[in-house]
Amino acid sequence: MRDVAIIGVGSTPFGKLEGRGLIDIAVAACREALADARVPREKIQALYVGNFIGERLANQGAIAGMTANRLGLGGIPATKTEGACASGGIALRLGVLGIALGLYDFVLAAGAEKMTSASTAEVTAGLATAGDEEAEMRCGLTFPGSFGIITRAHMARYGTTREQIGLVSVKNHGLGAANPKSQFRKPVTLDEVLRSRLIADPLRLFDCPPISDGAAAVVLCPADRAREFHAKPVRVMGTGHATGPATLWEMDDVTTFPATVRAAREAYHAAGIAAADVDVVELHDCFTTAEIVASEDLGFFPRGQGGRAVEEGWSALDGKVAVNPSGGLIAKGHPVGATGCAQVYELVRQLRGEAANQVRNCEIALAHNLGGTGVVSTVTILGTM
Amino acid sequence: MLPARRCAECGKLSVNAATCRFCGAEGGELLDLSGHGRLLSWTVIRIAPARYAAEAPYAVGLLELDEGARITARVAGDPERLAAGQPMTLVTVDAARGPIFQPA
Repeated sequence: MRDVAIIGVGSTPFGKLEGRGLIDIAVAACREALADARVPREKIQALYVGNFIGERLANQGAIAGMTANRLGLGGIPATKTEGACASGGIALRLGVLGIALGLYDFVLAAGAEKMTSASTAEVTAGLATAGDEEAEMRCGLTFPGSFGIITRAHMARYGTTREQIGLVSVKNHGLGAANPKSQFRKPVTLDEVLRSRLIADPLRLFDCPPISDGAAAVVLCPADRAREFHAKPVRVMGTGHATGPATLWEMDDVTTFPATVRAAREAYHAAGIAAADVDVVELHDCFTTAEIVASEDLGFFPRGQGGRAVEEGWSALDGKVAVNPSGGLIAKGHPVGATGCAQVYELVRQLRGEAANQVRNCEIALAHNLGGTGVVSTVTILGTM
Repeated sequence: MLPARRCAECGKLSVNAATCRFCGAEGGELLDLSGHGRLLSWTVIRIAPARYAAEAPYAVGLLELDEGARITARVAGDPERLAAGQPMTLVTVDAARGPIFQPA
């Protein structure tokens, strides 16, 4: 296996991107990443594009081939990857494997989603297709609903408070306010979070991410060639990709996602590090509670202590480990197929020392992407070179 | 009645499933569950998917049935008056929504 490096990243702003289609935004993110890498597009040998729900919300399928054509990539193989909200993380993982295994020397991995053209009811129904329709979702469950059930279970089991959960939103909106790519650019108070309208009890509006358009892209090459293209390449130290139960009733304990635990174990092992070595993390806060659960599943805090971690500032920008300095999905926005690559966009900029909310002296970063109610997860560990 | 399958390999109960939902094994013992259980956790859906928009707000619960099986299901009745541990009983099995429970 060859060592792999990231030599370029690109991202559109996240939010309502009026007048730009799904392919438009995928192409824009890819062009920015190619320019950042100073790699001529003729060198790219494969493209992977994460997209979850383009057919349903943007009337657009087959986006990998169309993106490759629009970029003028000369007929290279292009593959769409889908794993609900982890679609982008899977695209990146396949790109990394393509280079590690020696199939390719230059790969573009991207993710894109266009969601704001559809109504909230259509988006809610569309996202619910990431759950198991026959075995669970047909009863009328939604994704906020799944995490509402998980939230109540975490509170009952560990004494996590509604205030601790709300502080995730306060932290992430505060960070998003300073990120120029973020959909929400305004801090919120705990009082505003706890008074926002109920979506799926006990989760409220500010516990949820917005409906977003956006795309992000990453250029990969063998580590030993990275400095030909970028002065500050980033090493891919390890990746993990795992699956788990798709319904709440199949989970022995709904306050932990086995797919995250498995993907993290694989990535930590490959990187030869432990959770305590990570300086900065972008994790899948598709709801406030999801940040608390993931911060425990990834090993940053002991079981049941994720809520306390937020309250004590352990996950703040200057805490034990900086969690979601971009503002996370909650503030930056969550164009679902783009999220996995957008997390890596933020972390590469952190490791280069170029981030809007820069974590001081960071050398090791971790990205965690989750699909559905834990049906799939990817973890990517990055380091300075 | 709620049909379930007890896996011959892992021993777990899967409601309404052709094969074991936990280990993938085929076979096992078919049985009818009593339809009685208790509420482990729940939510109230205020923003519903388009097909059920007219029914919101409604409750969805994670239940543990007396035989040990778990199920995620619609809970009928006043969604504002539920409590963890509350006894639940099966009302009907709806063609679209699946099993529907209510407080016992």
